Amino acid sequence: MAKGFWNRSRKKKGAREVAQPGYVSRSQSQMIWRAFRRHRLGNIGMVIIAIFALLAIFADFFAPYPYAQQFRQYPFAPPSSLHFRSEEGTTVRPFIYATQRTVDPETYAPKFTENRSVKYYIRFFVRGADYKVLGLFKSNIHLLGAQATDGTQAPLFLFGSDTFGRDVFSRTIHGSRVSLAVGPLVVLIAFPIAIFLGGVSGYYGGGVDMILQRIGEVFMAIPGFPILLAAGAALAGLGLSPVAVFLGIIIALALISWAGTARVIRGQILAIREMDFVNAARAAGASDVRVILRHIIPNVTSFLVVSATLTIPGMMLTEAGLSFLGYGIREPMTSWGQLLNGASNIAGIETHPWQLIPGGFIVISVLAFNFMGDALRDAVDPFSIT
Amino acid sequence: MLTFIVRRTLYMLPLLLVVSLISFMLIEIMPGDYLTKMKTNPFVTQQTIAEMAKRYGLDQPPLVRYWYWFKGILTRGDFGTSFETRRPVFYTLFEGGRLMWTFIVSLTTMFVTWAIAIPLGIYSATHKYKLSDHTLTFFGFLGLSFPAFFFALVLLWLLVGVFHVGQHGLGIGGLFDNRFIDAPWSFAKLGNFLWHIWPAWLVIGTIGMAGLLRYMRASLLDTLSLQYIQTARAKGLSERIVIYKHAVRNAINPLVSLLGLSLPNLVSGSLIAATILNLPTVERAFFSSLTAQDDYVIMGALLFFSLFLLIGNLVADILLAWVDPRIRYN
Amino acid sequence: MKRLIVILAALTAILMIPVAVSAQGYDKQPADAVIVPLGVAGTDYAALEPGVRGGTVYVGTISNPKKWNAVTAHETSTTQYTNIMQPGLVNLNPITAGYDPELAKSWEVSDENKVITFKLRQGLKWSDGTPFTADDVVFSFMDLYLNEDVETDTRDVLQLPDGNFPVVEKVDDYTVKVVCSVAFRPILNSMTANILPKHKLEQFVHKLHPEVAADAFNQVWGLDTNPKDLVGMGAFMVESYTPDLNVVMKRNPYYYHYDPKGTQLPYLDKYVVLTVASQDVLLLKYQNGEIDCFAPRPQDIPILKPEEKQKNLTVLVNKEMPGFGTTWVVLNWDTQDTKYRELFRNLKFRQALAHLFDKDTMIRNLFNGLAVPQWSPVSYLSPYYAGREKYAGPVTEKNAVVFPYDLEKAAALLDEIGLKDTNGDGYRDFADGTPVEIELNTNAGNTTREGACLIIADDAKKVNLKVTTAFIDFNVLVNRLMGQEDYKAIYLGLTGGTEPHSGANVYMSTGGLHAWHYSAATGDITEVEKRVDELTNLAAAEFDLDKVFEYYKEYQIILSQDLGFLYTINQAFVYSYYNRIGNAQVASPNATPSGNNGLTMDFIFRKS
Repeated sequence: MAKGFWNRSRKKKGAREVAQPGYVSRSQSQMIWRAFRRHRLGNIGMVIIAIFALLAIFADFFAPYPYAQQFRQYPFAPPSSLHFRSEEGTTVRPFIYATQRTVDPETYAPKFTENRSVKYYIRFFVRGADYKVLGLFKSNIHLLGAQATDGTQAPLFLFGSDTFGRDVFSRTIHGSRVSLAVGPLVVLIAFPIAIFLGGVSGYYGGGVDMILQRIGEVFMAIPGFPILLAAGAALAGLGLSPVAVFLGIIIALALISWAGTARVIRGQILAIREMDFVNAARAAGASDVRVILRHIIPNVTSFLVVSATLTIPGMMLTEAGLSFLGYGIREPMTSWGQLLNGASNIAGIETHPWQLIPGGFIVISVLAFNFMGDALRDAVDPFSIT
Repeated sequence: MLTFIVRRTLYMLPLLLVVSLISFMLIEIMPGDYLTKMKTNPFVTQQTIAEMAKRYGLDQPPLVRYWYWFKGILTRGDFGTSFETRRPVFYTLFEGGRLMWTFIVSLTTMFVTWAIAIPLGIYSATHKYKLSDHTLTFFGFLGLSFPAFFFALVLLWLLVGVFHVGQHGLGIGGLFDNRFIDAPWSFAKLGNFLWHIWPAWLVIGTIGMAGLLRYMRASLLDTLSLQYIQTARAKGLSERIVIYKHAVRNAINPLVSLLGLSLPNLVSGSLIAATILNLPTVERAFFSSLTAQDDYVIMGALLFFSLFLLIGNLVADILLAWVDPRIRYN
Repeated sequence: MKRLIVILAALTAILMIPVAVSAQGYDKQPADAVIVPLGVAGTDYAALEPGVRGGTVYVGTISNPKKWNAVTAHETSTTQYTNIMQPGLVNLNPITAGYDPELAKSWEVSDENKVITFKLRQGLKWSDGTPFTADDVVFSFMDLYLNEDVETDTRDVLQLPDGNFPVVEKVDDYTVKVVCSVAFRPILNSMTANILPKHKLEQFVHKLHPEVAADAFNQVWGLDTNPKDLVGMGAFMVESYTPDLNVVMKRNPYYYHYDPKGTQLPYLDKYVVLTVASQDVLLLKYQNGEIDCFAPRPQDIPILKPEEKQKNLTVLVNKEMPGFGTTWVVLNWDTQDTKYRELFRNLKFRQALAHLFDKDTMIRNLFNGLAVPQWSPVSYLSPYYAGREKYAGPVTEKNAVVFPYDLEKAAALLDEIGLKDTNGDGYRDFADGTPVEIELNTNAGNTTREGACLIIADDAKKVNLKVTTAFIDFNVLVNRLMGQEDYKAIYLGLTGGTEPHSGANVYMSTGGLHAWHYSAATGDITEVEKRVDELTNLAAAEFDLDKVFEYYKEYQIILSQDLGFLYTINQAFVYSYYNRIGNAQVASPNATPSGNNGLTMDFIFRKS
């Protein structure tokens, strides 16, 4: 998909290119792309993010169950063990057995025993709970499910279940929506503010610059995490729905993070403003808006892209931290941070460690974003020797 | 330089004022107040709660309360009294060596991080794109990717559940084993402190490690591509001397400002780790005041964190001018 | 010459020893000492054993003390220390939950039950050696608890039904009289209030010393007070405090409890409370052997149980003994929407809802099996619990009011009151066609309450009743519960105690926490509420405990049948201790008031 995008851009610009044998003229973005492609870790990161994004967008389809569905007979059920072999022989299609939960009267430790009479085969495209694809079309097809030959279903817990018997795998997939959205949404709010205020400040200078700089400094003087906690506590009190609390947290994160970016943009614009090509554009009669949009912004784009990629993982971790302290995403809504927080106790680690799997998703996606950002940073630096 | 410092210091005052206003606003939006929790206690009557509200000034409108608080600072240098402890705000925040421990924990963490990250950064830069470079980067980022609360808890669990440190008489969390908490300082106590502090270094340190390593790597790579390095090489100097004597010295300069910028993190960047590792820090006092809605303690803590942030920025600027004679303020 | 000096010095030193010892405690056991009959057959303490002196016991807690002032304290993080330092006239028996004489030797009720005369123990001393007299008792009540300048919530429990306060008078140095304007049995419960040293604190009381500010006493004995200045009569005194790390308490050399062998209690030299930021770290520290005893959460039991043998510890699981307090769902009878108001006031609807509570699932899933269903407003441990045969009798539960989990019955009741799905959306609607939707609130972050709400909502769906859940900030929830904001249903809990009268603020129609029906206070009173008010007053004025039990039995049964609160479940008491600690097996919620952590600090000891 990404490749197509870059190809298209080459075609469009290609109209002005003069094809010469042995010579390939490349646009800046092509050069960056080529440099980026050389970073293996960066590429892996990008692929992982793309996969996660797909999972998030079509979460209802990929997850066997809705995130709030409880299988109450199965609190803290371990991951379903997939069988291939039974007395009747080996099958290609894996199957599971339904389990029965008993509690040891001595130790109070729960035990799950398999009932080997009925095999529930893992099937693709099974009918389950209703949902809407992209909020538009109704569907009830889920990628996976465990179904016996007579059509009855048994709960399939690929990652085990939580205290209410909710499927951790389904919740992880649904939770990716929040976790993956936090970073980009913060960037989407903070960066336009930063670009606008930083741009105006840097381009016009003088009194406007003075005032905007002072405003920025106030926001930079706010201690980030402590004030986020206070904001989380305040938000909690407005009696909002979990979605509104989530958006509130995003806005708070954006508010405390725009000022730093705005300052850098201002600095860059101050430098670019005095460059010859900008003067030339101005002399040619270009309007301020045109100069900013066509000549200056493209020069800070690479900085913005890199900075955005590196901001996102930080925001994901911040959200996880807020959830841990109880000021983040609220039940029954879920995020990876909240899932991990629910499992972050000794019982979670010792007796039902499968609950920690969402933590792996946090680590992997933060790593992926960081590698991608790191690779992009190297790629956009024209002076780096690669 | 002195006028620059004085001007910047004076300039902090209006900034802190605005921060205090924002903090107060947030506290006001928070639902209920310090006394709300008491309302569900069947043993306490509403009348008593109303009397207490009056005693604490909680029956006054917010603006009036802000004004009294502000006036107290101006006239008496009084930042308010904690509802919980009935002691001054800064006593409640800093009591019993909390301030000192906050600095000790964070300064040692910073020192350890730098002592590890800088050499690794140099190694990474001189072994660019080799397997070892990639490995270092990978582990650096891996450390960065673990949510601190999870990392800290798993670490403690490993110590207890897997390594059974208790069988060797070693404790977990906090600053000392039980027998050392109230003992006078000795080498044994220092050793015990080191045993308790290393998880903090690990948990808090790994967060900054990857960034610092990458900065050092990039900075050194930039420097190595400069012409004077080529000259030095051309003169036939050994690679060791070129790198350590010529390149590294200059490559470290821009990092000095990072030192200042990380100052605020020292007082407000490790709340989660401190909570699980049970470290007596100012942030933990802040968090417990937040959950108790001890208004003036929250205000005091936010101002304190904010002040540190500003001082950190100032120190960063000063350090930068100090190591790089080309930079002049005024 | 030199030798002579050495000999003289040595002699002086030897002579000084007895002097030093006597300055460290009583010369001999005071005549009125409390003898704890440890191991004496036929007493409550028969199952225990006399211990050995010396050693330290470590426990953990999760918050710092806020002050050392027992009068102005209103959080257990503080009272867990002050209750050890300063005992009251009477004390709760940690084993039977009855009242034991503490600083008082005995008491007598006279003048139509309006006067209680306490005989105090003689020869007792404060921890600084000052003798204890009736003046300290009168000072504590009249100049502290009943002094309007002093900020204390103890005043509330001292208030008599007619609005007056008792008067505490000195008869002689070792006799005090508590005079009430009306007969009020629960006043005895209030006599557990800590007694403070007059000689130390008098100087800070504005009433006695007008030169000090009116607010002066409220600032006294803060965390910055030198622990040497803290004086009490309890088993241990605070020796040092390090914020976020620990509180060290050392034995009071003047403690007046002795074991049958004549050994002065407490056995321990020191009692150290480690401050730990979270329950999980507490568990780890316990597993690591750093603390000796702690109260695990139900989820921790499967972790600790298998370690019992190997680590030589005991996990005490008493499924029959839930803690104090109640957990319930409340419907707002005064909600703004009249349709819901009518619905919630319909007993059949409340019964239908009660039949929807799958308590077994809640216990299994949320408490790992370590909880019990609850039905009564009075705590299980109270001698007045209606599940008992008689006052303080064995629990048989034959009076229990139970609404078993029964979806069919719930559905039938809902049908009966005319809630049917008329618009075909799968959920029941009012008779006029407006959909029924009840939002159930609880405080966000409390996993077990959130879980219980999710289970209830899920079951309601099975009978086509739409119940949604919304988890909100605790303080917002409290505002709703207090009637300051509208709500429909709330899941919450309240603390409790052994004395049922402490629930008067909740269950009486005029109570400030009469959460389901505040309008009852303004005349909109039901028959049940009238009877509850009557019974509460009767029980408060009655001193014959068997009669009191009968009053409270009826009170509990009608309240539970009326379903103002729809009770859910209550966590069982679980405790764990290393076997190196002696006498820890009687740990129980009863012991909590006299020393947190469920232990009775008096007589636990460290086995050598």
